[in-house]
Amino acid sequence: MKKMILIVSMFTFTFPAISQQTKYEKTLSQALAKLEDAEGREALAEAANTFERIGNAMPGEWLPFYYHAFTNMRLAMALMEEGQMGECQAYVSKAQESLDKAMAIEEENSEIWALQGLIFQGRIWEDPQARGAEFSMKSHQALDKAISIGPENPRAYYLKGQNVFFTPSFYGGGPEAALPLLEKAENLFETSGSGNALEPNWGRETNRELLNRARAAKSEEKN
Amino acid sequence: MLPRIILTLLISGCMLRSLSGQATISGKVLDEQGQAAVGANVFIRGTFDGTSAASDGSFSFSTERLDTLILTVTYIGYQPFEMKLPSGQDSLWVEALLRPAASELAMAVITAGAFEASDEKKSVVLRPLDIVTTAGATADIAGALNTLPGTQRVGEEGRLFVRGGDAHETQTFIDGLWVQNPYSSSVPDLPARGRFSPFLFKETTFATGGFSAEYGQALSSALILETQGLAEESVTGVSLMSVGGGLSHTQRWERSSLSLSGDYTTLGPYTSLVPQNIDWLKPVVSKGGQLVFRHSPDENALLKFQSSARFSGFSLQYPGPEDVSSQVPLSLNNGNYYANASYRDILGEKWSLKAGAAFAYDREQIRQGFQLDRVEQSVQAKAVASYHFAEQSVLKMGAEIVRGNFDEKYLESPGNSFHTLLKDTYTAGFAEVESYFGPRLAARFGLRAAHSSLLGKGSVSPRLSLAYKAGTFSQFSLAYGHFYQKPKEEQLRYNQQLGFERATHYILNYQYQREKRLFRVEGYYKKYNGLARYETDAPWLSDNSGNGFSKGVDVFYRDRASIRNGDFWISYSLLDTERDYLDFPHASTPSFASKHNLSVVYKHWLNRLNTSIGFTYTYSSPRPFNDPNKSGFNTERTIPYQDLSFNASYLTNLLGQFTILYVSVSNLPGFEQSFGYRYSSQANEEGEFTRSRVEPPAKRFFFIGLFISIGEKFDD
Repeated sequence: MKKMILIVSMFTFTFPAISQQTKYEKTLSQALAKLEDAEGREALAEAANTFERIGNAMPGEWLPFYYHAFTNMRLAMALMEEGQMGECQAYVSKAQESLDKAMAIEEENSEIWALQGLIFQGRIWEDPQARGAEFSMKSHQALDKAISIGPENPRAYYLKGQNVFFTPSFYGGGPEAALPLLEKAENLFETSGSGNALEPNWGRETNRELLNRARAAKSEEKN
Repeated sequence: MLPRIILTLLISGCMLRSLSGQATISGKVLDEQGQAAVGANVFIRGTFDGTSAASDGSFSFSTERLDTLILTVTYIGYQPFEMKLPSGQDSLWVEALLRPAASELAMAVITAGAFEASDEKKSVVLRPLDIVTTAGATADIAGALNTLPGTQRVGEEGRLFVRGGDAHETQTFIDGLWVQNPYSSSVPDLPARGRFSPFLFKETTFATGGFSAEYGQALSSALILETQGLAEESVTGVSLMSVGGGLSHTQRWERSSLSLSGDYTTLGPYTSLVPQNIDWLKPVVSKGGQLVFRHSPDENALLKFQSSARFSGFSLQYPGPEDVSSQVPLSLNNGNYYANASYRDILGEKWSLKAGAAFAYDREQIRQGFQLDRVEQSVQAKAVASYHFAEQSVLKMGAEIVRGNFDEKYLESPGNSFHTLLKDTYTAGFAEVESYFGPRLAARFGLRAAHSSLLGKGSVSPRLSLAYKAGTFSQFSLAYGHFYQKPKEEQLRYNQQLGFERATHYILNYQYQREKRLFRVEGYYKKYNGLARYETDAPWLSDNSGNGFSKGVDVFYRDRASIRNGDFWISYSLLDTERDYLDFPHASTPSFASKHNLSVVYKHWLNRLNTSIGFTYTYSSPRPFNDPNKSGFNTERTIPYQDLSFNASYLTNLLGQFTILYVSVSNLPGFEQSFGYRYSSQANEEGEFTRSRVEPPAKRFFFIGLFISIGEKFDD
């Protein structure tokens, strides 16, 4: 009898929890679909808001905070391309805030460290002359950490390649120096994939774009 | 029985759910000016439910009708908004008013009197790199700061002269600790250089007045330098220069870093190639070594230690002590040791602590017929505790003790000597509170009490600074304070009954900063009291009856936006100053003060050439000097001073290592530069005081250097 009550009460209490988990996965995958289709800042901001709400409902999951940080970085990039540097940094800061929350949940996560590398790159945009040296180093260190945790993470190599690509040649950077990293990322993009549709899988196209530019620069050099 | 219970339980569970139902929440999100906060994120805390505010700021969404609903609104640049909603309602209408986030740029910052160079703070005038890349500064901190308003260029000194103050009225502090000998050893009319490389520091605050109660013993100005933290990476540096070379190595571990460096400078080969105004017998030779250690036991704590030793010397034909028209060989030898250790830590949520100690030893020997041997030593300790009692509000309390020893033996001729021994224990305590009254108004109030055992006297100085953010980009600041300083050793050696000298500062500042443009104008009035004063030839009868004033306007404009890849700043200082001190017969403008000072600094990055070039133009109006052959005092004027300097840095890769090739040249157009005349202390047989012209050591100074960094590369 007592046993029965226990089972029943367990059932009634866990039921909402299960639904919360299902709801989480459903909402997150919908939000990811929206992010994929997002064009322009408004749609990105909308997606960022959704990730923030999911994180608010599921404070123990790292993915919503991760995507919130990632979407804010995309907003920051959009603003940078428009030349709005002051506003751009507000989004980089917001991305860092959210990534800190993700990091607090999972410290040894290759994807989180890779995104940290991107956020440090974002810090450089504010004032490349003043911040370039410090944050390009920090970005490298974060990406090295991402690679050491997840040697198969294509995004870590892609972002590292991006770092090297935009580093002046006198510091040992440039398109040619970036080529091996971008190629490695390209291969990993082809082979890797966790199978979990909620986990990060972005970067393939932008990596290919950069890879093509690096290859073009190399063949130009040869001619 | 049993199934019934289950059923009841199940039903009651379902009922609870259906009873709760849905509630519709709608409303509007507005910013502080009543504008719609388009795209603000509106949601119920702990749930998935929410939406983004529409273009008119309105929103509407439904949520489960729980007992406690907390509405949260987030919006970039604004503080998060939270509100507990009344329970049990089917529909609710809420108006959310957002308050701007206390961002660095939106808040008032105390800026009156201070120029800051930092990479970390936003409201700064300079970046640390600017100090190194300013043409004409030759990588000397004082040289670069001389392009800022409030300074008067005194070419024959090389030191910082601020707002009509003498060089010793500007004191240097490293990691909070006073620096005994910030400049290289020199003789009058031969410009000195700073002892410390600008690369050591991550933050430089150059206060031209009105500074914090943490710093004392400076009547006019404080140069506050904060050294670098842990070295970023392991690197080896090689420098080859037209005047010598250097080697350095930095090793970085997880929580510590250590740098060792050594350099050797010799002006010999250079002076034999480039014509000199000076007849060198043995041009400057300087050798030094430095150790920098950092240890960070955890994120909040950092131990810094740096130590250096340097030996330098030269000899030259120098105007004779009695008759300056004759040239008498003079030699100078200097040994200098310096060690500085500091530790900071955060203790709990509200307290932080900074403590440090420093040791300095300086020995100087000058020979020119006479023999002068001087040893200056000091040990000091200081501790500052900060209590963060509210956001952005801090109470600082600190205490320091400096034990100094000044020992000078002057032997004019055998049997005719003069010995000065000055021992002082200087103790001081201060308390200062900095607080915000809303984001627009910041205030800092401090009190400093100090005592000198040598003078047997104490002083109490109040300091006050206010900053009011008048608009998004503009700010007014105000500063007031009393500043005390011991008289110079030159006076104290004759009379130790003297008291502290005092300056009172009044400063009003307006600053407009928008993106990459900054304009500031600062007016000031500085009153001097209690300056040491004596009748000519009777310095032992000195008293504190001297006084004076400085008033003026400093203007600064920096623009990093108008010219692509270009960056310039313009500084102008207007100064009116007079003082009646030392053996002045009456109030007069001192010889180090010029009425107008102008600097134009331009830097340009040439992308294709990987080269940065820079020009600095400076102008100083004539300065007074005294000609004892004329009646009247300080009636003569120097010619105006002009200089146009150029530098270029070419960034490249040498054998796979990052390399900078640096060239600089001063006085490109060959302006005539002269700093007046030095007169003999005694009249000759014709009753005339002979004189010698004071000039820079050479018409131009050329410098070329190759700096190689051997470090990690981008390989995996």
